[in-house]
Amino acid sequence: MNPNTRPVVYRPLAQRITTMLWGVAIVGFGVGVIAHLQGYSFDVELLGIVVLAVLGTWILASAVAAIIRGR
Amino acid sequence: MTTKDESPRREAAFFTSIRSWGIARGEHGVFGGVIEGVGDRIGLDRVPARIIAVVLLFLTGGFFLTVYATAWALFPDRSGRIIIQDFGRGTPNVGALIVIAIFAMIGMGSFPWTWAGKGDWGSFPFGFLMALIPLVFLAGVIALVVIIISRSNGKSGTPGAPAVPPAPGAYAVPPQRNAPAATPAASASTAKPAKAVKDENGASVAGTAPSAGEGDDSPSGPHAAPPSANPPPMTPRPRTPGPGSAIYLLTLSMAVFAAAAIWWLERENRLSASPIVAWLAVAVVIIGGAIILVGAVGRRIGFLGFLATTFIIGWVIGLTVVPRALDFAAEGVIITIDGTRHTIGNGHGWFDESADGIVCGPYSDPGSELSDAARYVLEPGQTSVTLSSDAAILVVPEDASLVFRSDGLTTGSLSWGSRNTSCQLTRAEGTLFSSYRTGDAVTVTVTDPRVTIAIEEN
Repeated sequence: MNPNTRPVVYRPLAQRITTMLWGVAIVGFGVGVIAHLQGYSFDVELLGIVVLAVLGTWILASAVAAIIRGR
Repeated sequence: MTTKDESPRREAAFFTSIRSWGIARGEHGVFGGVIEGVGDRIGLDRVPARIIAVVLLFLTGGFFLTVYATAWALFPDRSGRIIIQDFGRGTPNVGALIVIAIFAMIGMGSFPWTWAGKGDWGSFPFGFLMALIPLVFLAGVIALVVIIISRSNGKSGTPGAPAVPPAPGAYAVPPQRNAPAATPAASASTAKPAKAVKDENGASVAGTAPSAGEGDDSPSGPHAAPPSANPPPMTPRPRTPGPGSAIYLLTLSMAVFAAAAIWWLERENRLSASPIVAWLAVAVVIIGGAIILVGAVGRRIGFLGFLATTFIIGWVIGLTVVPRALDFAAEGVIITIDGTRHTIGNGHGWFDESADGIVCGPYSDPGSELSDAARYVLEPGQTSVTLSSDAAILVVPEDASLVFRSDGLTTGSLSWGSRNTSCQLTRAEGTLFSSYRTGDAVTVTVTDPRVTIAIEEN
């Protein structure tokens, strides 16, 4: 079957947001690299704390979304 | 109807062999479920398996991490998906790949034959080559996967190749990717396993030789089984389109524009890093932006995910494993003397440590030479400053571009602590040297023939 004849299904909202968040994370990584090349130095510990906090928020938001969807 | 799209995806014997081990990563794992999967395989519960794993981690350190990362990448999960295989097929699990890469880098970095355990590359007879071993190993693994998958794809496209059904339990199409209508049919026809396999995988039903009675599609037959004898037409498997040519071209155009802009900055001596390195950094931002766009329109990341993973892994290696390859951007001074660009002073031996009239090395504290130094602080918008004393501390913005001039022969020393650089100067009148960053140029005029200058960044 030609792939072009198969029905097209776009991502639901939750997956779109997840994909966009990945994109934001990648952009943030790239901006950090550029800043590093410009000579800025990072507090790696603080960066790790921020990353963990963001990751926790992300997972928490996913949990809340799962609860809402389950109702 | 037999079509290419409905046939199962072939895979290399390498992956089939791994599946035959019967290890499937668990669904309750903290990092990929490797321990749970191995525990299930050997009959060990999750909790004791994890305790053993933690003990092994403490005992073997980097070796365990490397093995774990390898197992995570190679073992299938409960739905049959292998991360490294999906990576090769252009449908990567970006998050898992990043964590696997981090585990692998940490693990391999602690191996005794790498530089990390010895402190300095110079302590090895072939220190630099030794440092490259993990990179060569990673490159080899990636090359192996690409070769295996490309060969597998080549086999599946061979005309006349026998359509061998996959071995029981072998991964053909991940269950969640199957057509919804096909799965119930497959599960309902347990009495006809051969037919079920064909239906599930979408292969030709006409090619099946049903036994007497089974293939009878007469409506008068008392035991006629229309679903198996004349199965309903397959519901086309819906697909989520990839980024599409528009987004790919948009991404490519941004990359080309970025190359032009960076080239221009390099031409204007306003770039503090190698232009290729700068472009590779900007490319990450461009790819990330494209992924945001792909997500917004509800498409699959597709090849952009592969690109993003590759770039991020490359940068993680560049920034952590061989950070000195990039040090020149954060330390040292890129200067221009008589129109020639030099990167001097970071003391690592990668770049020039001397230029015409300037010899630089690692930072050394000028100490008492600056005890009576005059302090000059550049204000925003200031375009020139004159250092009239023989000892001066010049405080400049971090991004300042500096053009040093003198009216006569100048000798002395220059210390730039934040760049880990100290230099000795012997220059004739005119422009001593220039250091370009992203900020506006400031002309620094030196009047004393023998000076001691310390530069501080605020």
